[in-house]
Parts: sequence; structure tokens; C-alpha cells
Amino acid sequence: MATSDKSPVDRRGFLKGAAASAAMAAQVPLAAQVRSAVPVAKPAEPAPETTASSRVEVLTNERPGSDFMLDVIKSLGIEYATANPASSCRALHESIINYGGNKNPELLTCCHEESSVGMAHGYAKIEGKPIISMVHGTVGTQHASMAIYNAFCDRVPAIVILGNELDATARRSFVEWTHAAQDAAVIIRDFTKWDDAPGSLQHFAESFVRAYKIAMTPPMGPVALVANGKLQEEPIEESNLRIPKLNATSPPQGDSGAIAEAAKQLVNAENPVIVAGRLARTPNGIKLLVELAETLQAPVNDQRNRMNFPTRHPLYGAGDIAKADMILCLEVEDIYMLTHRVSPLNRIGMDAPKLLTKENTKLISISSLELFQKSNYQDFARYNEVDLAIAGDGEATLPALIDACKRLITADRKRTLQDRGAKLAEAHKRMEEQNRLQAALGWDSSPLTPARVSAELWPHIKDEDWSLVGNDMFFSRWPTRLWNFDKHYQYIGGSGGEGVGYGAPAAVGAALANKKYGRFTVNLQNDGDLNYAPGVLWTAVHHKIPMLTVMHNNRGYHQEVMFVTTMAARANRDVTRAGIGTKLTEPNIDYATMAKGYGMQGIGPITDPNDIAPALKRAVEIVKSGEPVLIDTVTQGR
Amino acid sequence: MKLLAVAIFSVVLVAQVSAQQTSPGNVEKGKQIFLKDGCYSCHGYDGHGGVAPKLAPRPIPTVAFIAIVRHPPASAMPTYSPKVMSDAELTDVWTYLKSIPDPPPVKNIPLLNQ
Repeated sequence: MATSDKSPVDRRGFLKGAAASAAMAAQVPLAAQVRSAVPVAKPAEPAPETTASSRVEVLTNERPGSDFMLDVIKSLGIEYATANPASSCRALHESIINYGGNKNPELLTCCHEESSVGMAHGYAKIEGKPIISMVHGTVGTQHASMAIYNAFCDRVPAIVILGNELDATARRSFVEWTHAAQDAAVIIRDFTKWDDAPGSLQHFAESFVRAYKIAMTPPMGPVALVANGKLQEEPIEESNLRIPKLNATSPPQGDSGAIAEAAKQLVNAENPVIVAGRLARTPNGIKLLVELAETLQAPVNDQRNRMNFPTRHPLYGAGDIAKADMILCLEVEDIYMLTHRVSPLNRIGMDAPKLLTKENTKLISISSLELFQKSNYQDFARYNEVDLAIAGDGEATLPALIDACKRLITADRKRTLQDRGAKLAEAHKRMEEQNRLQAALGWDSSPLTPARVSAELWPHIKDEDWSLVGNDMFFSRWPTRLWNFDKHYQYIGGSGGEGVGYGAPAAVGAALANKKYGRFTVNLQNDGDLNYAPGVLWTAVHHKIPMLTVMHNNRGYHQEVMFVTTMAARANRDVTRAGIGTKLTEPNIDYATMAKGYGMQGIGPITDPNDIAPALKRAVEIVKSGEPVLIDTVTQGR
Repeated sequence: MKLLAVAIFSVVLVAQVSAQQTSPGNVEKGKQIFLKDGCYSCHGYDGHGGVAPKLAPRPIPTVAFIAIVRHPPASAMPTYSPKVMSDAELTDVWTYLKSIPDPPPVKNIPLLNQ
């Protein structure tokens, strides 16, 4: 037990110590600014020798290990820490709010660990870098695991800090026993890129910087670091602590010989199609893809996992896989499903997959996923049988590919490519016209069609600096089909792991990242998704994160409605019972009232299409005043 | 050869279904069945389409409609056998789809012209 000859209630000494501590905090260099190795946090003063008669217990510790951990976290410019308060992270929590002044990172109160990591997921896709999520060891990690899996499948950087008390003799209650683990990160190891359980503060510093570097190197992904309770809470005793400098790893670029071969094949192809998966990591990714497409006059089919290509560009979306003689896949995960059709659900058994391309169509893949795979969870999909597999980050490889293509294009070839581009532009126009015709169908229907809701939304946001942070796949892609997307932050794709519960927290996290740029954030929110952890609405209100949430309230887990209907029909049984276990009715959930319960302004439910516009007008004003708002629109299935 | 066999099969099927059809359908009953039996979930409440193709307005002829429901192409469309939906019920559904009016022309919808 630590002892001192000072009185435990020496007020003058306490104030002096507090002032010195505050001064030390102010002097801590932020490596976010200097980005170099920095010696920080001095060890605690050793207790002087004392006689037995003057021994007094030291009950305070003004330099806990968690202060140094925070120095490390600050050094990398981490803006936020999302957390549901966790006893195993209590010291780090306190260091953030007091020692760190609750700034960079600022602590964001979450009502569920899935929300914490989901917010980090959405934030990273807008901002291009991670924040930290602090989760309680064992129970918090289990809550967070779904969101971590989504981030893993979506190749998004996130840093999860797991609190854990490894030393059995330091556990202070039975709860601390039930929440401790020998290997706290084991349950998420299958779907993180890396984890570690540092045994010292210096070890924590090195592992945190390493974790950041690994998370940010394509293919990006979540990482986990165990913050031992004793290490956080006990005084700093290590001397010469230093924070290693971060040397960000250059994204891997494809082999030059392979790029030259790819360029040759692309330039000579008569009907090439470019397919973009999780390609654009930065705004430059969009510019590069536009440059490649225009150089080749090739159509781009964007899988909408990221904002890869402007939706109103004449080369957008008109690529016909069936007619292609060459398909260039850029960071496409599942090339097999792109090029094959497997037996659908209305067939019994599995027939041989049908090839969707011509027999002799050539496939080129450029992907960082060639460099990293795990084995247990099967998100790697079927083996990609391509003709040229280039290991490298798509965005980093594009400049060399563009240059190689340009060098090969002769004047004659350029004229041919321009003719092809003109035809593709016509096809794009026809596609847009077809979209408008389809949007008109069911225009006055109730429940509302996703097309009508999307069309109503567009005039309210098109002149703003807007960002759609909800996945529009469940909205039959109507925003993609009707709106003009041309900026990196205007679309961030879906969950990755298709784990329900991602939508609401990812949207709040993305809106948080948008806030400092003054962007107008719009979320299309599925009802089933919101019901996983609706407390994130409160988080948005509490932290004053402005965003417009428009409910896709189809009153059910609609995908499952369709699946169960199909199963009943396959079995020649009662299809009318497919709503049992799949519908969210009787009673209908009132999402406007739910929002109000969390302190958010709520409008609706809206069932009449003519009521959408006035509701949107009101909602836009609320968002512009800096607050979040939710409109409950009762919609059709898809 | 394979295509020819499929074509012959379809003609026979359509002829069989045609022979079984005796009475016109009922719009209201058809709407109820359309909603209750889950057609709406993929094709939209008004048959305007969603994850599955549009059925209305102007549905395909009744016999072809029933033939496709009985033997849908390889897709997510469930096979509804007569045990699940009778020809009479399908005729009611078709009659409902037939009753759905055309949407307003796109040129008359300002929201679709910006």
C-alpha cells in the first residue's frame, strides 16, 4: 500500500497539485499536430521514506496510467470517443473528460456498444479516419461485436478499446470477475485486422500507434486494443515513456507489369465495363475513376458500396455485363456473383450456376483484398476466377493504369472510343428516362412509394451541401436513380456485413463528421434497423448533431416477409401467414413519438403523399437550426 | 431445341389455363388477395413494381399472367401452385390489376423533371 507523511486532507497541497497537473496537461504536445516521437507523461513521484508513526495512506493518484494512454490517443488526432460508460474503462473515461478537457477526443455518450462502434463506422466513411470506441470487456465486447463485424466486412477503420482486468487479484467484485477475460479480444478476433493486450504503458503506446496504422492501411478494417484496468488506474511508474511517431503506410499499388498488361487489354477491348466496389477511399478516387472511364470511354457500374462515380455522368450505369468482352473490377469483393447467377429461391436444389457473361469475356481485378483474408467468417465469397488478378489498392493503382492507357491510345483508337462513348451517353439518357417513368408508377399510392419520397426530398436538399448517409438499397435505390450524386461524402454505402442495426448509429456518426463542415445530412432509416438500438436518437440530440431522418417505415422486416412468403409457397402452404414473426404491426410503432421521447423533434406518421412536402419544409428548417429531426413516412416494402 | 420445347410447353400450359377460366374476376376480392397473399410485398401495393417487375397498369393477358404465376422464370418469384392460389383467385387478382389506372404522365409531375 502506498504511504505518505502528508496529511490526506492538505487543501493547499491538493490545490497546488491540481494546478501543476493542469499545467502538465496543457503542456502535453499533441502528436496530431507534430506527428513525431514525443516523450510525455512523467512517472508519479516516489513516496518518501517514513517512520511507522507518520505513515498515512495515499488515497489519491494524480497521474494514473490512463493519462498517458490519453496522451497516446491524442497524439493521433482522434476527435471522438464513443462509449456506453464501462467500469473497465472508468479511468480512461475520467482522463478524457478531465485530464484531456473532453476535447480531441470528446466523449460521446452512447446507449449501446453497437451504437458506439456503428457511429465510428459512419464517421470513418465520411472523414476517412477512425475514432475510438471504448467498450466494457466481455459484455460490452459482445454487444459491440455485430458492429465490429459490419466494419470489418465494409473495410472501414475503427479502433475499439476493450476494458479488462487481467490480474485476478485486482478484481474488486464478482461483477469484475464475470466481466473479465483471459483473452478479451478473442470473440472479435475473427473479424478484426489486429488486436493486442498491452502489458505496460510503453507497450500500449506502441500498440496503439501500430493499431492505427494497421486499421488505416488498405484494406482497412477495425482493430482492438485491450486496456488493462490496473494499467489504466495505477500511477505511472514507467520512466522515459514516449509515443512512437506514426508513419502512415502508403497504400499498395499494383505491379507495373500487370498494370501495363491490363491497360493493353482495356484499350483494345470493344465493350469493356468497369465495375467499382469499395474503390473511392477519398474524393480523389472519384476523380480518378472519372478520368479512367473518360479515357477509355467505358461505362461504370457502381455497386454503391462507396460514392465512386457521379450518377449523372453519361458513362454512369449503362454497362452491360452480358455484352462485355472485358470487365475491370476495382475493389469488387464478389466477382463470382457479378458474373454468375446461382439458382434462385424459386427453384428446388442448386443447379449449375449460369454464366452471365460471354464465355470468352476477360476479367481483370485490382483489389487490396488480394493481400488480406481471414478464414472463419465467409465474407470473402467464392473464389474469384479472373484472368488477371492485381494485388493493390484500387485508388492507389488508378493513376498508373490511367497513364498506361493514355500512352496506348492512338488517334484512330481515340475516335473509335469517342463513338462508343456517344452511344453509352444515349443509353444513359434512356436509363434516366426509364427511371422517371418508373417513379411515376404508384405516384399517389399510400403507403408511400420510395420513389415518391425520394422525389419529394430532392428539391429540399439539392441546393444544400448535402450528404446522404443512409443506405438506399432498401429504398430500391431511388435516390441514386433520381438525385445528382457527384461528391465523395454524398453517399457512403451500406453496412458491409448486412447486420441489421447499423443504419441509425452509422448515420449519426456520419452526421457528426459532416457537422464541422456545415453539411446537411439526410438519413433514410429502416424501421426494423432503428428498433435495434434507438437510443442513438438521444445521442444525436444530446450532442447536438443536426440531421434529417426520414423513416422507411414499411412496418416489418420486409426482406423476411418476402422470404417466408416464398417458403410457404414452396411448401404449398398458407402464404397469408407470412406476416407472423415478420411484421411490426398491432400496434404500429409511432416513430415520431419515439423520437420525441428521446428529445428529438418528430413529425408524422405520414401516409398521404401530399403531406410529405410540408413536413419536409418544416424538417429542413429544424435541421438548419442545428437540431436533428425525424419524419415518419409510412412506406411500401421497397 | 431447348427453346422450342419451352415454347411448346408454354403454349400447352396457357391453353390449359385458358380452358379452366370461366368467369371474370372481382376487383375488390382481387385486391384483398393481392395484399393478403403477399403479392404486394415485391410488386408494390398497386402492382407498380418494387423488387419485382411492375404488374400494373395494363397487366399482361390473364392466361399469360396465370401461367407465369404457376411456372415463374428462375427468379425470386415464388411458385404459387393451385393449392396456394386457385385460378379463380388469380383471375380476381388480375382483374384488380386491370382496374388500376395509368399514373400521371411524367411531364405533368414537376418533381420528376428537375
